[in-house]
Amino acid sequence: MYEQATQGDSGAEVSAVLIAVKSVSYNVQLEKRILEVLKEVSFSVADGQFVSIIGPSGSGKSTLLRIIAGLLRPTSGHVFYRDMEVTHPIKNISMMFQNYALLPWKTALENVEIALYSNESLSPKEKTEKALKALAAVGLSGFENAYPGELSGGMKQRVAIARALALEPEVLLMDEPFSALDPLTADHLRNEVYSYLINPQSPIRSVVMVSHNVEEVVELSDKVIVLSPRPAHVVGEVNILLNRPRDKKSFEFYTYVDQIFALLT
Amino acid sequence: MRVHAAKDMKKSSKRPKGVSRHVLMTSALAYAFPILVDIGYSWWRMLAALLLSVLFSWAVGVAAAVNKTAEKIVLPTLDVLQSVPILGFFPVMIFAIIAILPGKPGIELAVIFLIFTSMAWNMAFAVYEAVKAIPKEFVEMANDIGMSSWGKLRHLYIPASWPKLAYNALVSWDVGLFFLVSSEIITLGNATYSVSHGIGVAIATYAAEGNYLAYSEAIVLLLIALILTRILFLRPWALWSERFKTAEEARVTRSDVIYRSYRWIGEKARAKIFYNLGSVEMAFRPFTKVVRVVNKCLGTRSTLIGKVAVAVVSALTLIALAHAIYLGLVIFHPMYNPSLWIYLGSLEKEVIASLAYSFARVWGVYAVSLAIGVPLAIKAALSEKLYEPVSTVTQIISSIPGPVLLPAMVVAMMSLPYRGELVASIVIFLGSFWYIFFNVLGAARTIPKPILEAADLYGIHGLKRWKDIYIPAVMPSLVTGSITFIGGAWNTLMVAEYFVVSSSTGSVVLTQVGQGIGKLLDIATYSGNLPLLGLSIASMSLLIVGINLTLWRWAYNYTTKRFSYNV
Repeated sequence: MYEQATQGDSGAEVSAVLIAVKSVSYNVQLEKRILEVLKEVSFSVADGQFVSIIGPSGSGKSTLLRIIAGLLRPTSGHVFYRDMEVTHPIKNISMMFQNYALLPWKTALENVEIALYSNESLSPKEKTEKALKALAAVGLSGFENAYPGELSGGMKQRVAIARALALEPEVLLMDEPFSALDPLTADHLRNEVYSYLINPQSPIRSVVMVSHNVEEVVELSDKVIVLSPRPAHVVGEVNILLNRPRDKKSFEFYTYVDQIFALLT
Repeated sequence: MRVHAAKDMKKSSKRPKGVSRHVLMTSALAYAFPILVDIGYSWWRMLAALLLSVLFSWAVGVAAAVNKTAEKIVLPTLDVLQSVPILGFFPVMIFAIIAILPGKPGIELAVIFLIFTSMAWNMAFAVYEAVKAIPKEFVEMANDIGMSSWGKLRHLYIPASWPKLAYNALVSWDVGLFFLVSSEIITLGNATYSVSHGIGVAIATYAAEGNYLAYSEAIVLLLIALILTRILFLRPWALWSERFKTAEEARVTRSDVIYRSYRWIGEKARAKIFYNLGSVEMAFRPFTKVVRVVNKCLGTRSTLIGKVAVAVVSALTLIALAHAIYLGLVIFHPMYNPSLWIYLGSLEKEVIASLAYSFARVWGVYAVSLAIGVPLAIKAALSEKLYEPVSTVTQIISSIPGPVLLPAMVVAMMSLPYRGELVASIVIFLGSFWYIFFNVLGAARTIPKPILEAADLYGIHGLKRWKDIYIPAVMPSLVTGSITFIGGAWNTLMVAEYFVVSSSTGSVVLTQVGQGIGKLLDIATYSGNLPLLGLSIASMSLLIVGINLTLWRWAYNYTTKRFSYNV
């Protein structure tokens, strides 16, 4: 799985922008006061890029991701997918939830199929075929009829990936995809997950990941957006120009890690 | 039930037709005092029972939590006590207590004891759980500084038990009130056993006399007393007890209190049915085998309707089996007083038919409650706007004991056909609906947010959303609520199915159904027919246990395996 080539060009070359976040602010109305969660956040995700959002816990990273997904509306500001403003969930943007949000009463296959539910152009048979293909793509053939409770943490994560793949979105949003796994498993799976998402067969062109793990972010991303504590705004953008697979022990790797830590503190 | 209308409340019937407003006002005021006295009597019984329950819970709950031997005895005993339809045993209780302590004090004691039995078991469990959950270091520290047992009880066990005890008292109060009113009304059926004062007495008497002014006034005052008790006593107690919570426990918000308590009680009910009836199950082993074979033959292993059918068939088989044993005894063991057994044999048909009618009533109301309660609770739980007002209003409505509304329903439905059935159904509904409503409300409230977001993301709306997201998500709690619903419903039958008002001049039937086990129990009680009473209670208990062991056990196992998040 390590022969995976970098598809995204992490250089300065200009390519199409898939997601543009433009001065997004988000406030929560509490009983007596207004809590500012996000303040004038702006950044963009180019075609082919793996972008990570990192920040202290409670800084509104997940809120930002839900705004990009169209699940939440920002108090002010806009999110664009290509030239279209995102105001509600759309087919081209899919999301993977922190604890995967697999329905415990449905099998792996049914959990993937449910993503295709609202697609009326597909017959039930085609939906099943697509779901089976997606499960096969993440190496879960043979586990179609297993319930989430019968799967390990890593396998659950792969079902969630398959569900995201089945929709054939261009942009995948991931909310702390490795935090539900133990550190060893997570460490082992990062590159594997990357290869499931970014490869010539994959429909996914760009990924936006939320994380609080600096090394994880340096290992996977082309670009890192660093957020401040609440109210969150962008304190820095770091482009990571390392070849894949990345050597986590290399000097360059740690230069990036230090640079991001410096922005965080 | 019969209401003994010996009290001289005849003013109203003598009142001329064209009463002026002024006269109406004065007579309304005139009733206020006697009604308040009646409420006072009832509240004294409630408070006495609550105090007894608290003392009992500390004694038994702490003992079970700190002593292994006590634990082994207490838990199964509580389970059994919790699973019997208590109200059915009330007449037996009266006979027993009267035998020891004759006259009014005996009756008073019987009523308080009945309320106690409806309040105490879940509170004892609450204390047990709370004391069990005390971190070990606390006890070690207490031992280290040489604290006596009494000191530990005072400074450790009792404080730790406050939060759970207070929350359970909230629900216990509602349940107790239902039993209070019912038992007061039941005692009135026979002049020898009647209590002289009480809100149940007042309401039944006014209704029997056709004094609707006093009747409505009594209900309004009862409602005010209920709300005041909640605001001035039960809720402050629950909120005060928050301070005894350890940091890890989540603090509940005001409106969560009631559903959490209902869920907790439901979970206990479930646990008692499925974990501690092991010995009962052993006795039924051959029987469950038969069920399995029947299942296979029908090929309905997993369909719900099949399961229901099998449960019904098996419960009825159980009863038939019990009767066969009776008959066997009659034939082969003449020393068992053959005339009694022959007499019982002659009652058999009546009991089974009554049981079947009551069964249909309970399950019919259950179906209606599902159809209303599940969508309503889910809608309310998921709407930020609806949740607070709906949960507040339902909490108040749920605490009104259904039987007090029975006379009003009788009048309102005067001209309707099947009035007896309708009234019975509504009383059953009012007594049990809340178990489903609050359990589902709590479950829908705690559906993980990502699950709902995923449904939004994939455009799952309308019917599909209900079928694939909401209903499965509340399934385990729905089963819990259903088990407590059915248990509660059987309890309401004694009041719902038969309501007769008797006085020195004769008796008036307010409402009754054609046949029903509740009616049979009432008649047996009033006529002092102990064999009929025994046979009715035994048959009803068998039916309930049979269904618990088949249908509910399966439903519980299936839903917890398939529908819980933390798998």
